[in-house]
Amino acid sequence: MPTDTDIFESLRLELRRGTLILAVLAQLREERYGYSLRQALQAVGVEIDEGALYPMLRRLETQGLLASEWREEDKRKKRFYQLSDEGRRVLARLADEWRAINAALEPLL
Amino acid sequence: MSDLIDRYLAAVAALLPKAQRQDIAAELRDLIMNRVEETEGRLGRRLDKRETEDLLREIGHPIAVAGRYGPRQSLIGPELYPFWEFAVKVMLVIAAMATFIPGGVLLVIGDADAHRIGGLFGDFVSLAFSLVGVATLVGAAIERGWIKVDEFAKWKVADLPHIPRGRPLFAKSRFDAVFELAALALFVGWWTGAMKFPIGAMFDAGRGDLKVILAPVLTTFYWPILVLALLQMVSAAITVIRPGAVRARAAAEIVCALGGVALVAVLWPAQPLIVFQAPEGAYAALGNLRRSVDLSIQVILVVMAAISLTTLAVNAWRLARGR
Repeated sequence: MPTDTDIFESLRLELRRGTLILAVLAQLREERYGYSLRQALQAVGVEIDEGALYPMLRRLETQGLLASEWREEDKRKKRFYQLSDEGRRVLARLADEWRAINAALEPLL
Repeated sequence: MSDLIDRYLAAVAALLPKAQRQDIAAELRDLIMNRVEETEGRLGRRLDKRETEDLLREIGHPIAVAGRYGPRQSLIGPELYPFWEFAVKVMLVIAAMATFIPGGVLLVIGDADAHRIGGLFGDFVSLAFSLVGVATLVGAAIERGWIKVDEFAKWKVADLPHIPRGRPLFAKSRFDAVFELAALALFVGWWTGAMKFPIGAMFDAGRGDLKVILAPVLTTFYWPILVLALLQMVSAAITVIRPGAVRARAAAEIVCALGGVALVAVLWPAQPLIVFQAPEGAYAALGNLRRSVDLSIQVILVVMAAISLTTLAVNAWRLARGR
């Protein structure tokens, strides 16, 4: 039988799933590679597991929301990601959606 | 340390799609090296073998890591799952019926021993696993878009069955139709020899020289019986897919009922439909069994004729009224 903590954790994960994509897209207005993206998210208080982050970046790129290229930095090849034009448009729409949801929910909470 | 990382990356890479293997492995290597450098910076020294192992374990088992890059995580997704679960329940009922009804018959005709009864459970498990496996394969194919079910996805409320004012006599629910469809599919599988069922034990296994076989007339009417079963499947499929299409269902049922009446008409004079072959002495001892089986067949044919005629009348009425 799941405990209250289990239920809370599962609901929290469900709640966070969509918002993480929003945070990742927002951070990639500026070009970053995976590790630096994770650090940037951590710095603003958004924790994301690397195991979820890297496949997410690939999916977003496949969907055409990100563009990427391999470059050498600190003597190592790194894959840099950035929002594509389509990604910028989608992010703007998602941000509007987020604000609308937030505005609607805030008085209820 | 480098050897451990290389081995870890090779294990992940082996499980990745070939086209992306190098790319993903290179990115993972960068991630791992960043993590190593970060940890070494914090400790102020190089990582030893055990610490490197801990770090790699933290990133995840190679199967789990490679799995996250796959295009899809689930065999049957949450939207399809209720349909798959429903299909599995129907399949289990069908498997139980296809196994235990012939088993019951074997018991009644006294041809059941402990070994055969025990074998029935094995047959049930084997048939149930096969049917559930087929349902799962079909579900996985639908999930991946290999089988298109656009028509099913575009269902209309108007296609749902009318709410009966009291359940009308001879009305067929969607569940009944799904059940009928699955049962007919199994019958067609058995009739065409495409599938083996425990029911075969009734016909091709006997005690010593005793053989229980289908009468030649059934072989003569192989194609009409098969066509009739397929037509009945079409009728059941209409009920499943478009339960609101009353006239189409009624027309299909009328065709099947006419076929049923015709089949009874040709089979009745050709009895017995199940033939026993045995040595002279043993054959005489089978008198009671032969009479019971012949009587059962006659009852089945009479019931079949009655059902076909009633179906004909009811569906002619439905065809005229459109409801």
